[in-house]
Amino acid sequence: MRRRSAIAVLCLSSGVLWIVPGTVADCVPAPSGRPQSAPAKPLVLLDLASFLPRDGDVPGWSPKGGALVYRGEDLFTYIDGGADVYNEYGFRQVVVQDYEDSAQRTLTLEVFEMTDAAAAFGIFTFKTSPRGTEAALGDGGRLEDYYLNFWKGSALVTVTGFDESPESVGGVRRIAEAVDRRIPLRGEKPPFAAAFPPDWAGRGGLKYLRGPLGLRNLHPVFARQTVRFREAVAGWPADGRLAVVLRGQTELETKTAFSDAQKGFSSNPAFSGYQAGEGRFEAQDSRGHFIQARLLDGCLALLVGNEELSGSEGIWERLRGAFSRKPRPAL
Amino acid sequence: MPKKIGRREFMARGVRAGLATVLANDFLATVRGGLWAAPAADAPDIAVATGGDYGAAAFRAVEAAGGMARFIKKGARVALLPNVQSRHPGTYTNPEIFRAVIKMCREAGAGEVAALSLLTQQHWDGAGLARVAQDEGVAVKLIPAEEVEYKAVPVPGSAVFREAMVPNEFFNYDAYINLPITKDHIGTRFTGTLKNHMGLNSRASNRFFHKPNWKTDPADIEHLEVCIVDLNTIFKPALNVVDATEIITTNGPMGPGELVKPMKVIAGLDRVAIDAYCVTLLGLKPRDILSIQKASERKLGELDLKKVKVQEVRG
Repeated sequence: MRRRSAIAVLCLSSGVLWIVPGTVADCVPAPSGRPQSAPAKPLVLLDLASFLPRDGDVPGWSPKGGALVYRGEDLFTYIDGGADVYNEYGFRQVVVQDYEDSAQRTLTLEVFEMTDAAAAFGIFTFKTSPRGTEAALGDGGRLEDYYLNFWKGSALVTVTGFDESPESVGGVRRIAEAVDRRIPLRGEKPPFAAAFPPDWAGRGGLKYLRGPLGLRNLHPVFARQTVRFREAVAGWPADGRLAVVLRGQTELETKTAFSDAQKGFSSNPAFSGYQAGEGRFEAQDSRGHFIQARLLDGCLALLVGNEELSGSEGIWERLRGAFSRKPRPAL
Repeated sequence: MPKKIGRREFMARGVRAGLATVLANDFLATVRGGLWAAPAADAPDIAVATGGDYGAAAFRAVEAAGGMARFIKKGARVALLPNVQSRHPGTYTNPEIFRAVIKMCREAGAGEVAALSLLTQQHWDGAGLARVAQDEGVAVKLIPAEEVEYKAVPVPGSAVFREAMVPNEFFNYDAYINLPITKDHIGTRFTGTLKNHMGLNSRASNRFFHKPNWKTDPADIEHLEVCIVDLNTIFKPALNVVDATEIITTNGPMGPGELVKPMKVIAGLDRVAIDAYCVTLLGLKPRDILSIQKASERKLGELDLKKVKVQEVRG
């Protein structure tokens, strides 16, 4: 197990950035599939504590206890069993602070610093669902029954209430708004995610993925057979139908992923009915799920359904149009 | 990377492992506090109590399963194993269920009752279980991570996981009660009675469960689930009392996630049957979860709910 090096922190420029002696490899587990031989260089971390609302910032709510910071592999101490998906997207550090009101209701604020805005956007899409309502916070936010997530630049903010009372949910909103005002960052949705047909995001929410854990959680078929990729975007074009578009770091890597997937689905005993043609294959699993795969202009697209996928040509046309229109920026 | 060991250490490990075998077999086979007798003919395999008072539901579930005295003998030293992994709603064992189980152990005449945990005081404080333990006079034994705090226990007949590292403290008790919450889990899609046993294996040893490619290689993904089953073969809870009152169905195990409220407490001995029942509360089927399927194949319990006697109680 890699151990975090002893960390001394130096505050710079009115509390916005911290420099941590050590290396990127010391502090930030590389997301799977990413180059792991980055040259050693000082890691500049955000001063997450400066994003926390202070006493008096949010009327009625005050910090309760001190803030806790977890960096690199320390995340496993905080969320043992749940840390892997953060690492898959690219995790740097998190600060956790509780707030309390006069009725002793408690809220928990977590501000995660991810490796970049795409990672923050990705974990935001992973943690949110279409059940919630849009919240105009940061670069995108969503309020669900008792908690709220928003992303802003490389930061992901989660505020959790401990019940669904109007007082708690109101506190969740106000704490989130106060954090939003304190974060001086901006980010853009990754272009690959932006290319996905927006009207398909409604059923289950658009998901931006950076590794197999995210993929496995999208659909049980990927627990039986996975596909390698560097980034992916997914959504539901119709009830019971999931579309996933993946790509490698290069076109060659995408083609290799396709041929590996062909081998995997054709030889995996959990699948049957395997058929292949030029740049395409299809199969079904023992639970009655159907999967079709096609190479589309440097991307690998997958369509998964709970019933036969006949009549899906319209979906394929939309995907072809969305991901063939213009050159995609390099990863 | 595997650590190389010299002959001297190899011999020492062998002696330790042999000793552990004796201790483990002695403890596991003749545990005094747990009741291993055949259940009464009319006892259900699992009892399910539904209701908004979760402490009362725990009492009713255990009562319907035969009563705590059926599972814990008078004077037994009992260890409790709740889940305090996170403090977000629907991610940790409800404090009132924890309290109810403590009270039932005492009413059944248990001697010492304590809670064991590999996690930290912050986890116990955050989940609200530290306060209950304090109220009820129950010690919370936080097990340090150092290797010296654990005893090597061979896993006879294991598929892949050869040796568990069980807290020394565990061997100070006659019986333990498994007290998980059932919920979503990003790695295994579901966690419940079987997976909660990772709380009785050192965190360093639990890392063996995750092979380097456990997220990408189907064989390595299966390795994780098989390890969970292997681990379960060396433990026999005196009773499982499972919190399915308010549980997350997404973003597990940490949350926050979509919260559903089945308002159920499940009690029984059959870990596989209980997990098979609980997985349906998350909209999944028992065979969707590899650890349940593998545990059934290893005869740890019954996966087919049609063959399980479930007694539902309300009120």
